[in-house]
Amino acid sequence: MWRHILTRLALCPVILWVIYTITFLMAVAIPGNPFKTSEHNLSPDVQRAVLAQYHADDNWRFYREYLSGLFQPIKALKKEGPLIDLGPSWQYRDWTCNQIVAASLPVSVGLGLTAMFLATVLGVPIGVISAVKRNSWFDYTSLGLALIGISLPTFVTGTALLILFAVELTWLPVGGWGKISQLWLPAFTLSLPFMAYIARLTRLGMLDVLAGDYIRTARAKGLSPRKVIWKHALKNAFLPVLSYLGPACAAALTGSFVIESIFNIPGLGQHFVASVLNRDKALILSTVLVYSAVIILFNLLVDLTYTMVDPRIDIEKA
Amino acid sequence: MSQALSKTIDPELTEPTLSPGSRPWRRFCRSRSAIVSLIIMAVIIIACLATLPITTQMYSQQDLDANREPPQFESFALFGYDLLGRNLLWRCLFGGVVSLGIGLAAAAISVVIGTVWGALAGWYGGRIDNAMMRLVDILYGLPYVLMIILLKIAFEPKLIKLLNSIFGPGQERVANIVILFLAIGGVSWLTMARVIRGQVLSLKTQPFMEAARAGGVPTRRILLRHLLPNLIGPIIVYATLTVPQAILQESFLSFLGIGIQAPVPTWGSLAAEGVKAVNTVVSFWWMVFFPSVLLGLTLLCLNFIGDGLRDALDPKTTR
Repeated sequence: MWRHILTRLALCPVILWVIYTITFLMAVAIPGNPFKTSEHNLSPDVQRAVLAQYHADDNWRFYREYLSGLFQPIKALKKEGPLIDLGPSWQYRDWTCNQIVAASLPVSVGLGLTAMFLATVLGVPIGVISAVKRNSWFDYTSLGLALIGISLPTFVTGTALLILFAVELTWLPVGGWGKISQLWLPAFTLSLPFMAYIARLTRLGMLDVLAGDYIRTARAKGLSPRKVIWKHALKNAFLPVLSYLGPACAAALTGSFVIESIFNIPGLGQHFVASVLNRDKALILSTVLVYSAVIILFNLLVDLTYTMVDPRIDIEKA
Repeated sequence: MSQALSKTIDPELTEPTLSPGSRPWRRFCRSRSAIVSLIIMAVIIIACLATLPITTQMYSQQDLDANREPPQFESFALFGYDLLGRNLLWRCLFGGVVSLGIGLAAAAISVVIGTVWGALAGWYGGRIDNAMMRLVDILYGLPYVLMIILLKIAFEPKLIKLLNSIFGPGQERVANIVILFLAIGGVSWLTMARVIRGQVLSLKTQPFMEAARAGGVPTRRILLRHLLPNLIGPIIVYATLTVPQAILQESFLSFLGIGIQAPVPTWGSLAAEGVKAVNTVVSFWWMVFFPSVLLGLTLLCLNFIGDGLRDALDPKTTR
């Protein structure tokens, strides 16, 4: 078990390096840089010096310098700098990428995790009830809502919810960030497609499991229906949901920037789109690396919880 | 209960024998939601294509006196007018052609890359399979929306230059659409590759493959005549499920302002424009409502059709 975790962790830098290289190749293909479009008319000498300072004059040198600067345990031990140094931003010259990420990543992760929490907490019971009361009005209503959640883009559902809850009913604030009350609307909007999918997965799993012999045995020995459904059946029906949660967390993180833009939330998403448009190659690499690292960690966590829920799964062989 | 009953009387036994080709179609027809979806889809596609001669002329035509007019029967403005006085009915119909075109093209690209990649990995197996599939795993970890944006911004100028040098100047609009489905298709082949690889791995060990190899059939022929026909099922299913994904992704790009360039409409960009026109004082509900309904309905139908196809083409289903 521990050996497996360590191997997976040791592989992370390799995966991140491949991702870094792929992203770098694409970022280099974007023509232009933010230094040339400066409104100040710099003399050629100064311009050359600025480019050299940011390693923007030579792609290969930028690749090496940025990579070698990323991980600095010695500097961190001597308390001279951060452990992971994402370098200075090309566009926002007063900021380092570390500062930008530190300010906005917690917002995006907080929003994404709240959304996934809502999706699971609401989606699983909906799926269980629709499976137990198959073909009832509840089943059909939840199916209808799930279909809306899957087939409408979040910017439409988000705006509809915004008008209903913030403008008409004035129960919740329209946007912004900082108070708990401002979190619910965007998190709920973001969670809708995932909630729909989780409810469907749970329903399908429950239908499979409820037909099993051990459920009949549990009922026959006199366990209450509630205990059979929520404890015995759900534990097995939850497995497909669990394996979906890893990719879903990743998708919630990246999907959050449409939501961030509707609800005016200062998350990491806005920086990605802006960094590509600004040709801020240091920030492009930082955001992709940070996103990827978070996604890899989530996948690892999901795989580990997998073995905890179902001891039959041997993670070493998986 | 009803499921248990239907299992004991296998309909396949009571029916006259069908040819293997017509059996999936028969199964597909049993799913009512899939058939209804197919009909709705056909109506939408025919409506979009049949009006193409009108919509190509009318989609950017402005009537400045009519801007923000609500839906009405006069001059075919059943969906109302947008902020610039353009008839939303024509824009929605033309946008449908563009949206569906992007979906189909992206799905086709993901089918080609995914099938070739998955089939090669599964066929050769061993170390090659390992390396190819690890790369797929890594790409799964990449934030794909970001990749679409990067691909689009990085390669659009190059494609414009290339197209201009081949077809003469003024190819920006074509390049914009082409790069969009290349980018979306380029990130959505991963699931396809995994499914196809699994399929090839299991097919490879089947007796008929061994027979073909023992009979001295050349590898190319085995791949094309014996392997590929057995992969058609999953390819069709996942292609159908990729189309709605691609359409949805285009709508996100439109919302972020990096989708298809105006004035060419897509359902996504129309809905995004409509959402941006929403304010608390006056409601221009038709600008959001009609594109969203068309978009949602199409995605819904395509998902149902995909599910129906999966049930029909899966050799494991007995019904």
